[in-house]
Amino acid sequence: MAIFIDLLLNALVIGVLLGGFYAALSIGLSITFGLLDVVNIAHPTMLVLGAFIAFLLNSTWGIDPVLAGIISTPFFFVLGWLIYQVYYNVFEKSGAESLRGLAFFFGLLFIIEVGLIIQFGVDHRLVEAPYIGQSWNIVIGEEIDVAIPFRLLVAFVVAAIATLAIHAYLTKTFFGRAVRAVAQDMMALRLMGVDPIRVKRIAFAMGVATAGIGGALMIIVLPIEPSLGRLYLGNVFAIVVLGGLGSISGTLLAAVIIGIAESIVATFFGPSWAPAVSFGILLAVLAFRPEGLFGKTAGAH
Amino acid sequence: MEIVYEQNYNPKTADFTPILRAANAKKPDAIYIASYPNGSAGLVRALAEVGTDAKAVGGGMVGLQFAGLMAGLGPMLNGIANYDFFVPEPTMNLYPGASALIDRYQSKVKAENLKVDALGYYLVPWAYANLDILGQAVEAVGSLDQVAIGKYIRDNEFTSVVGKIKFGKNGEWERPRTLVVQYQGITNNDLQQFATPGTRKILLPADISTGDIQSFNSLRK
Repeated sequence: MAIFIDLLLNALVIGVLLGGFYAALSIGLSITFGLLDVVNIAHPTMLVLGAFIAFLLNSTWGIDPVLAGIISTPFFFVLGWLIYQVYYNVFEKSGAESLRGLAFFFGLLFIIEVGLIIQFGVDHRLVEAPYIGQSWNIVIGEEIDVAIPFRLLVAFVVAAIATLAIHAYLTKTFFGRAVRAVAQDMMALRLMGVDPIRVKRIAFAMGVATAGIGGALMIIVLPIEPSLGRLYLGNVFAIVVLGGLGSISGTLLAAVIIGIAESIVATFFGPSWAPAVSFGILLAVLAFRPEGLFGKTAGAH
Repeated sequence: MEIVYEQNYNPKTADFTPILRAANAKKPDAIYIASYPNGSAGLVRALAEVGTDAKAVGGGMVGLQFAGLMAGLGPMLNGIANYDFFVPEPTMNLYPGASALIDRYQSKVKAENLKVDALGYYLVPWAYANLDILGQAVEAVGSLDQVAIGKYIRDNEFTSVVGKIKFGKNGEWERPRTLVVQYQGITNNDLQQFATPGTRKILLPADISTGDIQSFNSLRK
C-alpha cells in the first residue's frame, strides 16, 4: 500500500509540474491560434529556435537558460511582428489564409528547422544550470517520499508566472480586451475606430514572443535537436483545443490535466499508453463540450 | 533471469521520473535500457534525480556516445554501463590507423568548424571501415556486380583501420567487436575529458578490457 501511495503522490506531483511545462509550450499558440485564428503550425519549431538561442547564450557566456529566454523574448516579438506582416499582406488580406496560410507556416517550419541544422548540426544539445539533475526529496512517511526534480519545478514556476501574466494582461488591460474583441468581431472593432490589423499584429507578436521563454524551458527539461518541434506539434494543438480556443487559463488547466494523465498512466500502466490517454481525454471532452473546457459556446458570441 | 518490469516509452516522453519510479518499485537488481538519444538523456537525468538501488544500469542507450550529450550530461553518466564502438582507451591501439583517423577527423572538424560530432570516436572508425571494405571488394571483383561483391565480402577477411574483419555465416561479424564500457570518474562537463583514457573503461570484450565493472551507486557521488 505504501508503495502505491508513494507512486501515486509522485505521479501527481510530476504530472502537475509537467503540465506547467506543457502550458509554456502551448500558451503562445493559445494566443495566435486560439484568439486570432492564425494556424501557426510553426510555433513548436519557434520554441526549438528559442531553445537553441538559450543553448547558445548558455554555452557561450554561461547565462542561465531562464535569463536567456527572457533576453531572447524581444527578438521573438519582432520576429512575430514581421511574420504577421507578411502573412497579412500575402494571405489574410486577400482571404487566402486558410490553405495557403497553412502552407506558409508549414514552409516557415522547415525553413527554421533547416536553418538550425545548418547552424548547429543535428546533434542533441543540453544546457548547464545548477538546478538540472538535482531534486528536492520530501520524506512524508516510511517508504513514502516525493522527489521534485528542480528542472521541472523551475519550468512550472516560470510557466505559471508567464501564463498568469498573459492572462491578466488580456483580461485587465485595454489592449488585452481589444485583442479579445478582435477574436470576437473584427468589424465591430473597426466601427469603433480601432485598427484590428494592428491589434492582431501586436497580439501575434506576443504569441510568438512566448517562444523565447518557452524554448528556454524546453531545453531545461529535455535535450533538443532541430526537428524536435514536429514531435510536439500534436500535443500543443491538443492542449489549446482541450482548454478552449482563446482561453489562456483553460490552456493552463488543460496542460495540467494532460500532464497528470500522462504521468499517472506512465507510472501505473506503462509510458507507451500515455499519448493515447491524452488524446482520448481530448476526444472525450470534445464529444461533450465541442468548445473545449473553457471555450465560449457559439451562443455566447 | 526474472524480468520484474518491462515497458516501452513514447519518443515524445518529456520526463522519465515516473517510469524510473515504477521500475524501482519492483526492486530490480539490474536495469537494462534500450533507448534513443532523447530517451537516453531523459533517463540519465531521471537516474540523477530519483536514483535507484539497482546494482547495474545501462545496456543499449543510443546517444550517450555523442559528444554533445556526453558533455551535457557529464557526471550524471557515472556508473552507467553501455555499448560503444570505439573509446580512447590504451587497448584500442589494436585498431591500426583508427587513432590517426580520429586525429585527422577532429582536426578537420575544429579547423573547418563543421557541425558534426566533435569527437568522432563512436561512428567514424567503423563508418570508414565500412566504405574501406566495400572499396576493397569492388577493386578485387573488378566490377559493380552486387552479387559478386557480396560473395567476396562474405568469403574474405579484410584489414582496415579497425584491424581484421571477417563476417560469419549469418552476416554478422565472425567475432563480436561491440564494446561494453562503463562511465567512471567523470567530474565535470568538460568535453575534453572524454578524449582521454579513463572516463569510459572497457568491460567487454575481455581481451581488451581496461577495468572491472563496479556497482552503479559506488560510482555516484
